Amino acid sequence: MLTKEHLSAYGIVRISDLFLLLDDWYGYSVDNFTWDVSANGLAPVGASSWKLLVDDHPVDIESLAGADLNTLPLSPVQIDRIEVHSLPTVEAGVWAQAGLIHIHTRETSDPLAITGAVSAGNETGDPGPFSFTPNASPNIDRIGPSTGAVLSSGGRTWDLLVGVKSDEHHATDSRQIGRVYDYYTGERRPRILLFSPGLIIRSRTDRSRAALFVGHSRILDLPYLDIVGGEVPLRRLFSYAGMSGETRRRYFSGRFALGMTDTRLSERPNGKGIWMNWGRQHVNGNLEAGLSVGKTNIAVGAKIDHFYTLTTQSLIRRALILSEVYTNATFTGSGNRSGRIAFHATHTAGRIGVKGLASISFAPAPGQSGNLTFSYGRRLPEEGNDLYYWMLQGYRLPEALDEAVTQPPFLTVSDAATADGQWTVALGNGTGLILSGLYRHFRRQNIASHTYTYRTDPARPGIEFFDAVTVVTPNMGGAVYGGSAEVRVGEQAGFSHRVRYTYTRSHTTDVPFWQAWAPLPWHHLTYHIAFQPLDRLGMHARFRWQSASEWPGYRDVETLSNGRFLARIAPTPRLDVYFTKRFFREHIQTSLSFLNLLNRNMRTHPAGAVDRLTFFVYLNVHI
Amino acid sequence: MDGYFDATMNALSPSIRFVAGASLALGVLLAGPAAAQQQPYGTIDLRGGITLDTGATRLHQYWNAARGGEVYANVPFYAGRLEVGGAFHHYTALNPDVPPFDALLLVAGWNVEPRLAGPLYGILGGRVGNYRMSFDEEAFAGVRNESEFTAAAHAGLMLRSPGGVFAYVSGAAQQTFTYIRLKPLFVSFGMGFTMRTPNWLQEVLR
Repeated sequence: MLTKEHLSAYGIVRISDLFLLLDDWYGYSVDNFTWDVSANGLAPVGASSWKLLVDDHPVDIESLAGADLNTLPLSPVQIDRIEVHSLPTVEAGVWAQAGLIHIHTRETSDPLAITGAVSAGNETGDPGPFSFTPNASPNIDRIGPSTGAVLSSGGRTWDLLVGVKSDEHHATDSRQIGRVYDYYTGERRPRILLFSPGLIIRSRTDRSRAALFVGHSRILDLPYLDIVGGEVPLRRLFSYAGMSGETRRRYFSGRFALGMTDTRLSERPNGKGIWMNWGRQHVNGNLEAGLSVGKTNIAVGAKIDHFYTLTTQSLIRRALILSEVYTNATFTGSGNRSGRIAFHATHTAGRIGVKGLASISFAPAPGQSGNLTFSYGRRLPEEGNDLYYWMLQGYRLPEALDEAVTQPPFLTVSDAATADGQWTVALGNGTGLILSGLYRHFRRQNIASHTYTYRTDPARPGIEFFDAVTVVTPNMGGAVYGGSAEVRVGEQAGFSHRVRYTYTRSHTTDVPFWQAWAPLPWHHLTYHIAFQPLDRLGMHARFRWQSASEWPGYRDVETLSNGRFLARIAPTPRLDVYFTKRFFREHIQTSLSFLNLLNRNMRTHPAGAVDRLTFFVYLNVHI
Repeated sequence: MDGYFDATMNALSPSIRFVAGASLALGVLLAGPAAAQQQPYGTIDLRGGITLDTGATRLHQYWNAARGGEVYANVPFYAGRLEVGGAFHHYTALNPDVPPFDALLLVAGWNVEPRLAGPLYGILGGRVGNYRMSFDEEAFAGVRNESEFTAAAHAGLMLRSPGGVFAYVSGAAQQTFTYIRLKPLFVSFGMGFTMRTPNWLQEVLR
């Protein structure tokens, strides 16, 4: 659980920054704006299979260009807490076998409150005055400014939040500039620009609550697509409208959710006339009834998802309907024992996908607790928003992107089984030890393998490109296993600590499966320290070290570029330090953040921007 | 010539580290006794003065800094003192191929002011902030300004009069994190006065 205090202490200025705080999630980014993440070995890196809920609303931020959490029309100042599930789970009727992020927005009963935040970062390494001398080096632009504001009003039974955020990010790394050079006719550096308003209205009584959530995001984006081996200019338009409600009586409860998402990948003016020509409307409904008897709760529900693809291209299938029924039972026994069983069945196109989850928590002795979670999922290719599925339906990327793809005639239904165990021991004096183990088994996976080559433009020195060849292979399988150990030391003399070591690796004889999992570093070590000498003054630091990350698809690029682009990302330690001071009865908060304080040249992807010491200033004013 | 400047620049780096390390260590040692004498945010020191860049690095091969000015506000904290302020310098070009530029330094810092003898106080501290350079020509298409993170260690002496007026002289070793580091060495002197912090400002700061 990440609270708003965590978010402010760690200087979270973009929602995607929260991935930096999740020790058991691994992610990479090409531009340091959009992150591809996977949770706890539950899905291959970059699969973006995790699910997102906002106040119990399932929000579909997936598009052919990936799932960018910054798309969400919410700014960090609107967030009260974030529940992060790193194990398979079911929440609000959503089956989330690859992890779940549930964002809870702030509720208020104040008649009127306004909160505004602005932050800007500066990555070091600019040429400064030497840009006029023979010692000139490439320019590195600032990060942001990122701004967010929320006006809220509320009473005893209702509240309303009107929020807006804007953001700016510059793609000035020399590795990116070459790939996007042809998209712009002027010399203006390419930027990512985001603007996003949103509205939340809620009502609540002792027994029921209802919420309406409406938002829109407009992003002039430059996402890196693996299938292309480069950035694609697009205007990402995201609109969401949803309402949900629940009521509780003594034995019975009921819940509903309705939502509509409209995602468009429209044309962003560019020198090559690239237009993704893609959009998707997703309407979903969910009805659930619950029964509580003693310490047992049983819920049964039904869901329906209707997808409609918007493109001028001719597709074999344009509309998809997924229907789902499910049941979910939880029970609490004596001795702090509790358990959960869930079963989901999904139907589309004459096929059925089934999913099951069982978990049990127990406390074998005072100060000790354990948890076992097992899940099985049989996933249909129609679930999710898979580019290769739509390519089989006839969708083609713009010709200028010049991708080369080999696909099978159909995609298979895929299976995943997981087993997780966790044991927690209280060692006294606020110190705790948490040991965990994990095992995942994947079968019949459809895996896209990418191989890249490198070329330059002889007429334009410094302009570099990748050419991508993609092969989609069905029926791939393998296993992932690992474990972690974590020690938490509660607050003593203003200090608190947390250190965690995680080992995760894959095992397979299928080369595409191995290639998909190779980027996942086997070893992760993280250390968090918090120091709170005064009520309104705090210091947080996070150290993270991870072992090498392998990207087999870029081996030819490494050879052809004489090592300028590396297929192996070496182990790099990263230290981030945050200082926070609150003023004026907590109405004003300022933060100074030093990211990558060790000033190592860091990157998380072979094609990615180099990340150096970056200095952030953050100001939050609450009236 | 380049060799001389490179050597000077390299030689400065350990000195900056030494000053920073010594300031921090001494600051921590001195902060405790100093804290006992002061009420947090209870008074405010306002000071201003003349500042000179006396460095001899690669930067100074191309540019020469004329005299600049600085202004700082400084309040007692629970340990040591907090300060915010800035300085301005105009760098004239020594080489016709480069344009002159204005440099604006905006920083926040922490320091200690231990009493050395009678009215004589020492100053030891560190600052971080932003160094903004405004060029007379475009550095890149559409870009006339460059901003970069900067850190500095500083030390000095201060002579306080009973009436709250004081004079100071200090030196600051600054490092601006451009690709080739800017490492000016500033010598500053000036005057200031101490006043009681207005209640409303104390309320805001707390």
